[in-house]
Amino acid sequence: MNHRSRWRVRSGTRVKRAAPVDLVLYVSASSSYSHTAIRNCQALLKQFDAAHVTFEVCDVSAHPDRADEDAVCYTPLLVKRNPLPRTYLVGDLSNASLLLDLLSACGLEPAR
Amino acid sequence: MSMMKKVRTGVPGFDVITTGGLPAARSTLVVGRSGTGKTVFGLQVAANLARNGTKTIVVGIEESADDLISTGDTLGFNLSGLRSQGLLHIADMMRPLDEPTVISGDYDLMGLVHRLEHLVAQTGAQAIVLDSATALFTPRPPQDLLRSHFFQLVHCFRRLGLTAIILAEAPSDYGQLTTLGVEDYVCDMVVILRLIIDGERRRRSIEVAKYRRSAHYKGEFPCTITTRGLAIFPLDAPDRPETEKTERYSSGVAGLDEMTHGGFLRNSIMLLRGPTGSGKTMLAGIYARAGAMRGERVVYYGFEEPRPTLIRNYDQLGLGMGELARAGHLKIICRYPEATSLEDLLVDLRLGLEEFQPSLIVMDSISSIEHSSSEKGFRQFMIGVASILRGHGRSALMTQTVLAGSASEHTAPYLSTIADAILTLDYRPAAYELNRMMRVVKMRGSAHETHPYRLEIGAGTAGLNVTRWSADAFESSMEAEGEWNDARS
Repeated sequence: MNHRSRWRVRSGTRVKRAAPVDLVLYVSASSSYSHTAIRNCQALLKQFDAAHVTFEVCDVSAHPDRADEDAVCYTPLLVKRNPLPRTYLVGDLSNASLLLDLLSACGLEPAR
Repeated sequence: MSMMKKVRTGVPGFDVITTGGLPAARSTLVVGRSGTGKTVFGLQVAANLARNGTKTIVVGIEESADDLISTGDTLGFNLSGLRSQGLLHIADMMRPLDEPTVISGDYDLMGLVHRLEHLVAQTGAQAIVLDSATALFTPRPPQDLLRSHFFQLVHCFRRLGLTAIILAEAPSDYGQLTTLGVEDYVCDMVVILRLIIDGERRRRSIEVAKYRRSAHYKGEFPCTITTRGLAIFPLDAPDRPETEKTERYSSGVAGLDEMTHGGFLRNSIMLLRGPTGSGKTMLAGIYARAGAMRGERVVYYGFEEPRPTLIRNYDQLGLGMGELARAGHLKIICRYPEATSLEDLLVDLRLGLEEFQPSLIVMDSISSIEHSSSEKGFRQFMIGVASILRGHGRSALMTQTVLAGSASEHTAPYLSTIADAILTLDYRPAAYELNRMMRVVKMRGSAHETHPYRLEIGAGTAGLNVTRWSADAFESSMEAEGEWNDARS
């Protein structure tokens, strides 16, 4: 892939036709902050077209191996894996505007 | 206190100042500014524990696993070998620094806790080294959250029964212990590593600032990082059973053996003080030569001239030191104290003792070291030397240059406690004839002559003569000198 086509994907105008925004939320079953984060995240993502976002919750207490890839130390941790660069959002997402800003930077706006 | 279980680290000197090592199944905090050797210490302990069969995890947050392994391997810790044997596990938990991290709300450390639980279950580890808490808590949470996170971490280690070393950065050598400011409260032991500017030199030191339920050495102790890792000098003398020996050996000078009622005692430290030109280096050379001729191994540390010059000068006196060195009984090592750190000299000395196994050591002169270091640095060096010598049960002769007429004046208290025997050489600079006088000021464990001896230097091996100075002869020499001085004034 040459530089020109990569630039187009990242420039924002054509991004809706690119791969969906890929989010992984690392949580711990034994942490109350984690439950808050799952709730906050799901509530916010309802406002978006499901076709544009993939969202996965990974429970580190059940799958510690899967936490290696993103060097997870803190939970809850939301990782935007796609588009690049990977971005890490630490915390229970009580500040919804940070996630909204992150999605907006990927070219996603609430559907309604 | 004696009930407490400890884990020996194998880091030279560390188990001495901590009276046994790390608290078992508890957390130890190691703090220091950047460059003080925290990672080296952590890896060294991890490697030693692993080598002795204690499976150990190193959690690298500040550096990648590869970087940690190459650091360890250059210091001979053989981390890669231990890793392939399954004794050491290096967990790469470094977060990519080029990717943004944003904080949104509250969080905890459960992610790390679960991963560590998993690792411990997988590897059967009993010890862990975390490098570092400072990197782990970046970005830094608010103080109360930080405290609870750190507590969570230490609690996790404790629950898993891990003997833990947590490394953390200190903002300065003295004052607040860590940049985070919370870690020391929950750890059972706190160790501070320092790299201090002392005059024109940098000096490393280590201090055990806290050790719950255990005695430990207080204050700072010199340490150094060599090609084999960290080495600490506890500055005290471990007891050696051989010290009980009363065996004597010849100084190489008949008159001196007479003064000491039969020669020097084994395993003792002799301090030979005198002004320049009083015959110290010559006596030191004869002492070394006599040992080598008896078939003993002797190390001669020369701090005043280059090796070829020293050997040539001794050859001129007919001592044939070069020949003895070639034969392998004598090792002549010349160092410029200005060009090496005192800690490195100590390491040299210790390695030399371990590898060459000498029975006699000569240091000519300790004054060159004194002049090239701070008072504190020199004092620590001398105490370190004494501790190494006594730990190995070796004899040493050290020379010290003092001003003419002052050889019998008070020695610095720490020097006189180190020395088992103090010999003085002196002359009066204003005298017409240079009369060299020698005395035994003290000699532990032995009777000795209390009156002066006269030292005459001629040429050749037997050119140095030490003879009893009778009261009459001594008096008439004094009188002659007095008359000469009177006539002059």
